[in-house]
Amino acid sequence: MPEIITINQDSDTPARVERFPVGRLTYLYDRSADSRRGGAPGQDFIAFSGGADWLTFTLCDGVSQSFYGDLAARFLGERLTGWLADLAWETLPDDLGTLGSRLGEQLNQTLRLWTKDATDLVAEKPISDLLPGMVRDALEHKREVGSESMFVAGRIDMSRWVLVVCWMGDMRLWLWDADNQPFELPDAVWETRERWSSKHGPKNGLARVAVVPLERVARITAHSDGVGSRAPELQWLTPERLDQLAEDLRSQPASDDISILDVWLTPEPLNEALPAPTFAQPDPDEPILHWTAVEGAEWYRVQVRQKGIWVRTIDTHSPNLILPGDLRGEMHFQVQAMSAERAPGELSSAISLKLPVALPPKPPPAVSIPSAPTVRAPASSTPSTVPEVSGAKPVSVFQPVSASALHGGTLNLLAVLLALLLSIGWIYLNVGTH
Amino acid sequence: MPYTAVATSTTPVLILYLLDISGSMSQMLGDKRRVEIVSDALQEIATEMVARSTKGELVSPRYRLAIYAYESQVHDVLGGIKTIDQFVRDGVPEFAPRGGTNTAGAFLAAEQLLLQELPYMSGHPAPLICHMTDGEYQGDDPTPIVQRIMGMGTNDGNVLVENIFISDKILKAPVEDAYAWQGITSEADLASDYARALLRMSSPLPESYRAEMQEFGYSLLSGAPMMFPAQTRDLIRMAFTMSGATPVA
Repeated sequence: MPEIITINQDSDTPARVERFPVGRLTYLYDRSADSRRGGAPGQDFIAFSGGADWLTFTLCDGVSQSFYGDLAARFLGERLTGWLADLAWETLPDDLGTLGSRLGEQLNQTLRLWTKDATDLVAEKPISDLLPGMVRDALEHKREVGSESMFVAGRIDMSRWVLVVCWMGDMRLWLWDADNQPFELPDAVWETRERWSSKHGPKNGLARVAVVPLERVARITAHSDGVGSRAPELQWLTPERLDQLAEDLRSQPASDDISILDVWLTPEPLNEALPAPTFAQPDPDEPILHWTAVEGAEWYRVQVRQKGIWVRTIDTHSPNLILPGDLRGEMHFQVQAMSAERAPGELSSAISLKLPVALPPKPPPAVSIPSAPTVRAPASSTPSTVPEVSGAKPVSVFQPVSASALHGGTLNLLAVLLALLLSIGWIYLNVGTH
Repeated sequence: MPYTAVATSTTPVLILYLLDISGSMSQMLGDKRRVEIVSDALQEIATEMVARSTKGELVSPRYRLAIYAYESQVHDVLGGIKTIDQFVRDGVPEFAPRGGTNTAGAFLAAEQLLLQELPYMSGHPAPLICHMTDGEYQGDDPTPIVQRIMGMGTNDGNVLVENIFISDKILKAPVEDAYAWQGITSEADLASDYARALLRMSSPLPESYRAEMQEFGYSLLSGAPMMFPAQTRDLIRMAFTMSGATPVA
């Protein structure tokens, strides 16, 4: 599998630029307001991979009503990016129409084949015992349905001079000409109900494929539906505008995960790469990697391999990384310094670490997010004010609310008073001594 | 377009359950007491609401729930409004049937709650009242109160009132298949005057709710009255599913 760069799902990535031989890549990943407040991963996913004359990319939008939509989004995103990178052109027809049909058949067949591994992944996903029973029940019910995701993916191929696009669902892809004017992807239909399922493969329809000659294409933009009605603003895209857009959307009631990826097809010579960082000797008892900072680095990218096979990449802004808890076995790590204005940095020497190492106790999962602040009257208990019908005294016909809440409130008040008294005493003593 | 606002953690939907726990609810329906079947259905819909509120394992407070159980008196079971994540922690309460059927009292309490809450619900989906009863009301006629309630609402639409009638004397012809049933099409389908009265106290089914119910496999028609003959567990389940069918983000 080629090296695939993946953007973290459990944190936000402000607008960032990377240089590839085929052009300039700009992307952003922003979790919904709910996910941010709850410290949860987003369910969108971005992945890309590039060579001397090609670039593949995938954006996924996990279905939140399915089982851990982020799981399907990541699984599918990585697989699709790799599948597009490995296209065997020599076995494919030259005619674009026939090429599109053939790729469609191959893709739909592959999407079905992937359900085996995906189903295993879904079956193995642990559900915390610390979650309330009703939540566990709901999640187990979802597990039966499987994990689902929509996607839009593409391959820009300079040697063939074509753009291959495939998709399911209502994510969007825009094409722009040399004057930065949009034009339609021919015959594109975006259906919300269509998606890939870990259990069924293509669901509510088949994956769609389009092949477009690159003659007219100067720029490509893909994004998830979290962008909503603000999508036309992507016509004039800068990192600053993207960050502002994400901030605006985050404050909306229906704040959703946002993933945006944009490619300007402007082959340009890349500035010299940043030098390689140097790893500090890792502590075998601590799951943290440290390395020397590199001047000019805007972020760092850690590549993870196991037995020589690429596993994933992880980006971080500071010269250290807390290793994800799902990595197991002997892992090999290399790190490179990254900058928007430079070619990808030189890779460091590799270090190995046997995982897992002793991890600090994991806090109970945040079951619910704090409610967003709203100006409202407090939700009140509304005891019945209806006149009795029968004249009988009202009786409790269910388990009463316990008095512990009131008792707890009284204890809190006493603690505050005690603290206040102690503070006053401290002030008196100190003032009195001067 | 009405009834298209989605329930989010910032604009949650308010669902108010009015549950008849009069003495007749201890009668059997199949192999369980009616009140136990209602508790089971409430458990199922609560689990479904959790599923619709869950992203990963994070429960977003997209639903706000209140439960008023009524017999001769009206009892605020949850002690106020609870968000779905709070409800999850506390669990579904159990009910002990007794007393009469003060339906007007229950709707009056619901009206008071709505009067308190609606001023703060701009942008929220229209609230829904899910009323379940197994017999004719005693005391005051609830119809004027319900009509007032159906005239209240948010900018998404008027308050929706759904009625579930546990009785085998509702329809002239029984429902054979809850999934194929399209809903009550006219008063002529109904077998009793009280069923007809409940029909007039039931809101028409919005298209957005119909689409959500279709996802669950049901075939209700848009505009069909939100009134359900709860003759079987399948029908009770369908009716409670309706109460959780507000579109979510």
